[in-house]
Amino acid sequence: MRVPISEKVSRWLAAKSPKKSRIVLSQKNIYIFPTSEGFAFLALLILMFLTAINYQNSLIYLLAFFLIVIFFMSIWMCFLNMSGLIISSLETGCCHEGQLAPYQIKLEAKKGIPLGLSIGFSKESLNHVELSLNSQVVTLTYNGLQRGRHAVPRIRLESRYPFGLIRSWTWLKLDGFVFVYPKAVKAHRVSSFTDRQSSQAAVKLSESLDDIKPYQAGDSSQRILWKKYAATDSLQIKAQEQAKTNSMWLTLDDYESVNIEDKLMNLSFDVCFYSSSRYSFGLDLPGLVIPFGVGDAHQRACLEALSLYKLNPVTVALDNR
Amino acid sequence: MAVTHKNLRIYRLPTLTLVLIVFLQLISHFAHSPLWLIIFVCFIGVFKLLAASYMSKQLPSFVRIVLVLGSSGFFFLYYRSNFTVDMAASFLLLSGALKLMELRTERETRLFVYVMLYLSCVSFLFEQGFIYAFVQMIIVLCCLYVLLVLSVPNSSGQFFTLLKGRWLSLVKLFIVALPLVIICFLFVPRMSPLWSIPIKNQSTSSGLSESMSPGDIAELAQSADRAFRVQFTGEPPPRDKRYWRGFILDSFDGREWKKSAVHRQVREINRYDPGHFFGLDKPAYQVMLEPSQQRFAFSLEGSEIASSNLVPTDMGVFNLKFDVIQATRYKMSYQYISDSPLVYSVPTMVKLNKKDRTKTNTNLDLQVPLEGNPKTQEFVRKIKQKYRSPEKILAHLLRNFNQTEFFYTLKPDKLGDDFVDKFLFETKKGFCSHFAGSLAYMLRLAGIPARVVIGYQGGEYNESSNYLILYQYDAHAWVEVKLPQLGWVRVDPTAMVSPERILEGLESAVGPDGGFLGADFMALAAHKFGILNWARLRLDELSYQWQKRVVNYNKAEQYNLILSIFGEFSYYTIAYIFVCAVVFFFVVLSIYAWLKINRNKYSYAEKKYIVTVTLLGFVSHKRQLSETPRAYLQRMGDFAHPLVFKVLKQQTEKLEQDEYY
Repeated sequence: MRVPISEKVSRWLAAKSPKKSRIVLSQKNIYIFPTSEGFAFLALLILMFLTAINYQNSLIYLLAFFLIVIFFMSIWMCFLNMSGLIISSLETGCCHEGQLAPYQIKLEAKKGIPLGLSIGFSKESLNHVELSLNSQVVTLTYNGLQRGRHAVPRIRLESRYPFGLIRSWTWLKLDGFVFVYPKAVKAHRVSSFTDRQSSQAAVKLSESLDDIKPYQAGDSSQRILWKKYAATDSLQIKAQEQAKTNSMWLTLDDYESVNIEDKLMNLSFDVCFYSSSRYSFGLDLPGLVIPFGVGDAHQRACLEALSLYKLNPVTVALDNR
Repeated sequence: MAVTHKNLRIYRLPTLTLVLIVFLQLISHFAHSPLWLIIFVCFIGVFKLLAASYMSKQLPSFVRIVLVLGSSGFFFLYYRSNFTVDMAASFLLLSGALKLMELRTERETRLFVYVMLYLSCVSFLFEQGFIYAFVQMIIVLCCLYVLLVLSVPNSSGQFFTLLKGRWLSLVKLFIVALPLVIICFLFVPRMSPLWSIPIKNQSTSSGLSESMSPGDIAELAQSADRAFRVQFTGEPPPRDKRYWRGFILDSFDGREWKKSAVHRQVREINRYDPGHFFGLDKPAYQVMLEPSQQRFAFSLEGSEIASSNLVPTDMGVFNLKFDVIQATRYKMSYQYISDSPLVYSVPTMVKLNKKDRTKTNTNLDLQVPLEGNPKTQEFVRKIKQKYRSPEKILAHLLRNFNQTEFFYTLKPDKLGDDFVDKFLFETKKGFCSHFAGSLAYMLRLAGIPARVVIGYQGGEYNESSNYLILYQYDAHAWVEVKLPQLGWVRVDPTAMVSPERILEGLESAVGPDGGFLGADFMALAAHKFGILNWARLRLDELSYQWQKRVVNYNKAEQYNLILSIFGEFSYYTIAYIFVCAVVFFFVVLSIYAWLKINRNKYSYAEKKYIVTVTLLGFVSHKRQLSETPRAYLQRMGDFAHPLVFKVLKQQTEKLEQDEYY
């Protein structure tokens, strides 16, 4: 597919600019060019001027001047419409492989809501966005991503306000990313978890089971010992979620599949399953051990570990860009 | 959040606006569109409205094909192959209507809007009145509205709030655009036509026609349409001296007066020329002709050409260089001499200058048909035997009109072939064309060169704006006769029969029951009732100013305007104006854009502090870049006036409170 020069220039400019978590649209990052309809309109104006000249008709001159002034003013209106819009990336999105990867970005308008906005990852896949509030979260979805951690691709924001004669657009490079976990595929586990209970790591962990640590910023509020707080007036947390007797390790060897990717998929399913049924479990991958735990944060940590497991270096390189 | 895929986006087209555009265009093009097209467009418009409210589907495709083929067939049958401006307008209107029928996507709607915009442009070739211009302005705004809806689709929210918001922004845009449009209109250099274009259109010419059969002008007298308007720089002549010569009829076939074949010119297609005026120092008058599809330029006795779009033709008649398809202005220098003597003290009888034939045979002024009108021939022979001198013959013929029972009427009887006989000796009721035609015929029979002149006589003075309006009912016919001693002399037989026609105008000449504007009730009311008459004159003023200042603004006017403002005319001046205008607007818009982006960069306290410190920097000591507000405050304690210090202290504390706590 041939890419127009204006598009090439804007891509080149966008590639130069660093990633940011918050972008304010201004003359530095908004590009403006007439649409094909705009060029057709200019052709119409030339025809009108020819008519006016050949018939020496003042009123046709007046009409043509009016329309050409409107054309030039719509360049300004198109720019002003988008300028001042603040775009920021929100928290990391996640999904399983095969699902739509959601990217969340926030659009904020300080004065006047931009009209006729479309947003998408390429010029061809733009979706219309209608802002009805000054600040609004937009979810963009991306299909067909492999497991791993993916940086948010360039996002194109475009508007043809007010008359569709001029298009203003911008390429956003936001520093958010999205995790794509391995697909969740159910499989029968070969080894029962009781066999694993005698594992060294488990023993090591259980020694420090009832440790009580002082609260530090970032610790889960669910682990705060409120009774202790009432007595001593200092925040204490349980160092570790009370390990149940049925704590278990999930490993790659639990599954019969030959392929590592399949095993990861099976693990992905079990992580979700045990987490939602509030089992305590740990993840034991070659080179990476995630201790026993429960809760959403634990689940996310496990799934992220799975999705990054033995990734080919190309994907990592993309991520580090 | 509403997200829909671009290609599947279903447009809620502003059908009502689209149909409104087509109907307004139909009104603008009503006068020159064929009836079948008007009916067809109405049908499509009504159908589209019904479809929008009751039906969800389109017309079945075979019906659409039949409509397209049928209307195209009508079109080609009606216009054949000759290209005219009418045809172009009808073509655009037809294709717009057909497109309207099946509009669905954005692209189609946009195309439709572009066609309608060009149709607006074409409509100005036909009509340039300010009411039409107003209608076109509404159409253009509606078109912009449609484009706005197309580029900001799918808006949720209340329909009327949306509508209001959109129209409000359009009106704002219009108002902001206006100064730039006016600057462009006034100062963008106008070019001369690049190539010849077909300017003749099919619509029939209005006003006077180039032949006169009995009763012709009487029909014209039923029309209250404007023929032209005149503004004098010198003293205007009184009503009975205002004979506007249009053209000469010099060939009589016993029934009809015509232009003789030799001076009937072939009218080639020609370029429109707005004309530039000269002879600035002399008293003059400017005529604003309404479009008539003719070339006659009307002039008073003693006028001389003072604009470049006029050419003199034979017998002291002036023509424009092109068919008047749009309101056209020309100028003639003219000095009214109040004490010009009447010939033989006969009312309206005036000696004329330079009316001899220069290009054609003088014998043409004596041409009479050999046969017909035997009674008249006999009558003239008797007079000729009785009086030898042409002066006496003329005097007798005029006396005959005066003393015999002739009636001036708008409703003359229908006369057959020997119309002069029947008129003079039987009915004796006639309109100016009867009197002039028969007098000229009798004079020629007596061997005196004579011809019929067609033009306008009188006119209504618009006192408040000081210009003269001539209506179609002011059309008149009179006689020019060549006497041996005096040369060409104007004589008006109508004045013998009905002096009121000349002194007061047609309305008083025919009396209350005379059938003045009988067929046109509205026009009659506008002439008769005080308030309506007043409104009619104010409206005419407005339209005259519009015509003069906007419609007829041209190269020459532009030259004069720039000369009067800047003292010189050069393209540098124009370039200078535009650079200034563009820079001005650029600066204003940039400030606006900057304000919009940076509006909330600083808080109110910060803004206040920045202003105070900047002012203090001017009058006292500047704040160093490294200096904190607190340090600056302490330093200023030594210099500043206690009152100033107090203000600064307040602001510093407020700032610190906002920023650090």
